[in-house]
Amino acid sequence: MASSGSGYDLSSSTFSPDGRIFQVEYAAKAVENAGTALGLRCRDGVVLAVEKPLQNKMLVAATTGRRIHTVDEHSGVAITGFISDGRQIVNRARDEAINYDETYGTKIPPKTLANRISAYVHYFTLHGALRPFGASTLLASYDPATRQHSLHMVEPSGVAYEYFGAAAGRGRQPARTEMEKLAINPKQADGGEASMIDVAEGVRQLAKIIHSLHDSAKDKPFELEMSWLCEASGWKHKGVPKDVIASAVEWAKKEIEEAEEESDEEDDEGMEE
Amino acid sequence: MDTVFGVSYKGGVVIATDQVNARSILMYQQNLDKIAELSSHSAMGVSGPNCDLVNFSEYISKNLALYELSNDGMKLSTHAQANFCRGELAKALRKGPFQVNVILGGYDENVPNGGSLYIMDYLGSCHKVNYGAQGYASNFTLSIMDRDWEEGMNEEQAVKIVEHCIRELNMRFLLNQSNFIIKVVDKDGVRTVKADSDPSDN
Repeated sequence: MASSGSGYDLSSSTFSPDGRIFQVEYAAKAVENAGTALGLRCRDGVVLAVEKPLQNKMLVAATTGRRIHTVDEHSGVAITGFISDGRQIVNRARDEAINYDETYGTKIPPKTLANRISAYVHYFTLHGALRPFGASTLLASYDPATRQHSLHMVEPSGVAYEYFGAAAGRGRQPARTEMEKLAINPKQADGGEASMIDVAEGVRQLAKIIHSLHDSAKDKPFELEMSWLCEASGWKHKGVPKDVIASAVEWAKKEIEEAEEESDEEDDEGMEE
Repeated sequence: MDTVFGVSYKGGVVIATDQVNARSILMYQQNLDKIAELSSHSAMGVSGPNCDLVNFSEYISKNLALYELSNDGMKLSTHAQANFCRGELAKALRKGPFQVNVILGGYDENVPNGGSLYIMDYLGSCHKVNYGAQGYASNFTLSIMDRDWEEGMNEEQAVKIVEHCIRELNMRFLLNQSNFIIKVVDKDGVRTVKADSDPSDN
């Protein structure tokens, strides 16, 4: 990467002459080098998926190092980057949600929760004594009052946007390209709302994207963590059942193989001519 | 001694209070508005000493306005407002209680009958009700509301019940409360249906 900080990168309360805060950019770098996290807003719910690299053969993979957490019944987050930083964000989100419920007797609306998390993350980018969070947070949430589900992402700089499809981590660029091909934007989908994909399809597609991005030679072996918040789950944030993930992964691997065979054939045809 | 009562109907709520401001043997004013407008689509009838009445209703309504300013114009539902209000009563109880009993009513689009009514007392209890009354008035009006209230009434019918209650109070309640103010909260917001004495008349 080009720009050296040269003295303007020592503190997150210092701007560089060209208007950048290097510490925040470096925090974003920590996320860019971490496992891919994806979120998809489907017609009937939201799906989250995270690639969890298995650092160590001795790791009890199934239950430890979780990257998807439930914030409240109706909200869940996926974190990537520094997982320990992400945990702090999750704890804060839980506090915000409980606090809101105790004050107003209602579940915290998705946008409000996203704004609270983003305000918290942003706070750490303007204190000399604190360092920015090196984690991005994908928030899947449902509002029982308006009956709308939504997906938000909060980045280390503290910006939060609402997304149809969101990606963070190592494979975010190719992931975004793949997600754009899916029918998740009601304005772009030909048949409107009704032709958008549902969560079952979303689970398969995310599994496919994560598996196709993973380079078995370069990257460590990984576990795929997935969760959904949908009509079928009673609008509660739950882990996708293991057998559903397994069949999605099977489908994904088949699709990837077939796509490779096709492109091999096309290469062969090209060579013949 | 204040009369505060309310009736919900299909499409909104009606809240009515007397307009007397008095202490001991002295009547300060007869045109007090005891129904505080909390937000665009909610109002709260308050009973108790005038100091707490004004302090509490302004505290709640300004905090609700602050929420909207801080959260990008997002409005709180009547249920949320009532819970917030109850929370403040409960917090203050063991510090410096607000000696107010309230009836909070509001309109929400996504609530089945549109209108919802909540009755709260100074100890921090809160219940969602179809109709309710605070103070001595309850002795006279609750039986009338028990009898006359029906599911699916319209505004006219609800106001009729309120007027029936007022007639009863005028006839049987020892204290002479000659002026009443009646406000309605529906999809168009909060509006005064009847004020026997103009609150803005100084």
